[in-house]
Amino acid sequence: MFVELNNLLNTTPDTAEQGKLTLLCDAKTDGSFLVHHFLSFYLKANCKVCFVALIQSFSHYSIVGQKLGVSLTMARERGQLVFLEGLKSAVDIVFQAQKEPHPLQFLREANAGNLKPLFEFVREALKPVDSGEAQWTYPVLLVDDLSVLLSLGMGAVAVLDFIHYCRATVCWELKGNMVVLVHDSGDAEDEENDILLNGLSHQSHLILRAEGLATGFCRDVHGQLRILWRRPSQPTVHRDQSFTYQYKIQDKSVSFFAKGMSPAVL
Amino acid sequence: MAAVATCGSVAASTGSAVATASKSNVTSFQRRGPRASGTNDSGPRLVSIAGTRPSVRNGQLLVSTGLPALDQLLGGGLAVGTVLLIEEDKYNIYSPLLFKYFLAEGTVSGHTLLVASAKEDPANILQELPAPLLDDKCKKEFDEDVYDHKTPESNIKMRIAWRYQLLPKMEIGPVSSSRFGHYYDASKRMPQELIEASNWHGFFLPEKISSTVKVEPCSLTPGYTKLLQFIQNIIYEEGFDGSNPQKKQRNILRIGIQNLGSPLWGDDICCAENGGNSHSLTKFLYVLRGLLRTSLSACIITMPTHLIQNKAIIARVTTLSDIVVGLESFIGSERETNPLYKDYHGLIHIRQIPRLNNLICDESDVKDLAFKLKRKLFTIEAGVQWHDLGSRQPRLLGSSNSPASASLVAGITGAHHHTQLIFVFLVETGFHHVGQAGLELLTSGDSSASASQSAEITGMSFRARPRALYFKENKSKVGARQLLETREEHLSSRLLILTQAERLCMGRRFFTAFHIFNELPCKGDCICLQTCQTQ
Repeated sequence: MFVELNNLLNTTPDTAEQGKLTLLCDAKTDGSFLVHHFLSFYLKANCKVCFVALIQSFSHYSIVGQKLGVSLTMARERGQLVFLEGLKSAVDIVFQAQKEPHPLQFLREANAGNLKPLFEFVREALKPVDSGEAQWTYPVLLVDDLSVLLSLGMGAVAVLDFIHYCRATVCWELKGNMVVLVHDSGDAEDEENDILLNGLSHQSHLILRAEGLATGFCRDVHGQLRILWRRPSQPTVHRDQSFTYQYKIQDKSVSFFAKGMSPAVL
Repeated sequence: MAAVATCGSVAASTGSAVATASKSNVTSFQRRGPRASGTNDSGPRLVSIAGTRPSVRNGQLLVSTGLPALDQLLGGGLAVGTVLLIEEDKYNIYSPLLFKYFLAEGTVSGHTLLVASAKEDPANILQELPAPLLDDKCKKEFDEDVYDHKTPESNIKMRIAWRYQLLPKMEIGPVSSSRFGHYYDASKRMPQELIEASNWHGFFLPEKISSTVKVEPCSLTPGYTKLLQFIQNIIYEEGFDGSNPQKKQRNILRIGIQNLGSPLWGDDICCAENGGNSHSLTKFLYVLRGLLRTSLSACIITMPTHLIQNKAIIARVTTLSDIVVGLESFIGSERETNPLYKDYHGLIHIRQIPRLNNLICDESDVKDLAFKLKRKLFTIEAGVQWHDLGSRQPRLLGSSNSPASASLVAGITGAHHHTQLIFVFLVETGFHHVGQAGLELLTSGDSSASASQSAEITGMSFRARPRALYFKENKSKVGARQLLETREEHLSSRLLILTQAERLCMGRRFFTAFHIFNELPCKGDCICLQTCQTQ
């Protein structure tokens, strides 16, 4: 996790809020550093994490996780992390007929129906274990990323239904958190993606939007992060708060600074 | 190894102005680093495979794309387990070249090839591979005798550093080389012995589609399904994914798929906006990437994205590929007659570079790259007419005062108040005021007039202020070069044309901005104007 981002979001692994849906969005840049942040954040907070990784392989997250101080292999072994690797499963599903239903079995079907098997998988993974004392603080669902589901044939409404079911289970029933990543296609006129993005923006409590700079590529400033709290916790503040910072990604951390205040410029 | 070091230094000295960032040359020390992304960490550590090298940044295993200049731009090479997507140029003239370079590199390095095409028989494609250029430092690695000694031709256009011109000339012969990255002679064919010695598999769609093997419907077009099965078969049978207990493979599989997405594959995304199979291509790419991630293979795909009707699909395809390189040739466009581009055949755009096992990627600083196909070589050069200047503290000018319709913003880094800036904006029709707004942010310098241009320029010019010249693209027959020539007659002025920022966007007009500096008496000042794209 990135300490500076924790400071900006005003959270620590011990004092994170529960029952929240966080939306990560990236436009014209790669927002995957936010996924790595939240993955390591929740693993350090001793939560039970279900990670639906559709776009990259396990070893990719594991190697980056090591840089950030968590070991995904160990977390998986002791049961803290349930990892669904989309790329590997896709090969198995398409080439071999599966006996039992697989969470991603919509890949085999000609007409994509719904994501019910995937939801069952998530619910099964995150349901509280009855034996003994509670090991993990609260469950967390991480999805990277939802736009891939649209590319694989699901409709935007089906994906929104899935998120709705997950939210009802994970956020409300189990008092856990959800973090999902959606790409913003910008001017590519991807209607399905826009429907998905708008629908999720409406439901989420915190939106982190990583954008590329409007002026193009810069070596010292990799992009701009917009933080939008949808429902701030203090009752006195009625308006949604929004902050914008620029960032530069380094090998093991990300440094944030106010707009125009990059250390390279000052 | 001496051969490897030579390769590195030759790569650095031939032609590419790109070699500013010093990608470290390959040393003989082979890191036994982690395997390609996706493969099991607990698997056996890889000993070095011919034609590969570990990445400097994260130990990722890399293969060469066949063009050492492109390797440098991609951060060292193509990572094993990833997909390189080439967006074809309009008339599909240069993208087959890149495709063939990739396959030729595989032949020379001894990798296994898998060539898939719906248009040409793979055997014919392999016959047309370019011949490798090898110096005789690699001679010891050859088994066969050398073919013919090439007499040194004085008009070989390959630019070699002067100290290498005295070395014995190139020889071509059947070879198995363990170097990384070779040069190819586009005017000659690869020797037959090399092709026959290589292990290759071909997938020609018209042959395969006729066989009536029952295929389960899974919403991929039949062509894609067959191709996926074929690839998966080869990977399993030859042991590239390590799952076959009988076969222990320590080689790379190079997959080349030509014209994916074209109607010849049975896909209609190039014909209809919302066809029935709109998810077929993206699903195919997803499953292909899954196959690649778990095996020792690398894939090149050429795709006619300029034909795809639904722009959302292009965005999705880009997300699902790892490296995306776009080619834009000048044939038939207005740029063919533009004097600025007369030495080049087209532009190369590196649209996406993956971040594998890492938070950051090796993105090249140089964004405008042009390629040219000389008689023998395909070279990539950076910064058309870019006079490289020393840089001051970069400071980006915000685009805050440009209305929404502006498609370009030029950022100034480090303007010095003694110089007179001449901005040349090419703007969209109906938008004339960006120059004025932008100019107010500049400090206006001494306004000694000079600037006696004979060039025909449309637009306004401000006398006592930095000048703004508006060029409309289709009127700029004169272009900047003539302006440069008239300027150079002036002794005290030094005109520097910095390169254009181009915005390539579908459906909009393309405009270029030239920034012309006219430096006045105070010499020794370096201005670095960095133009930025808004895309």
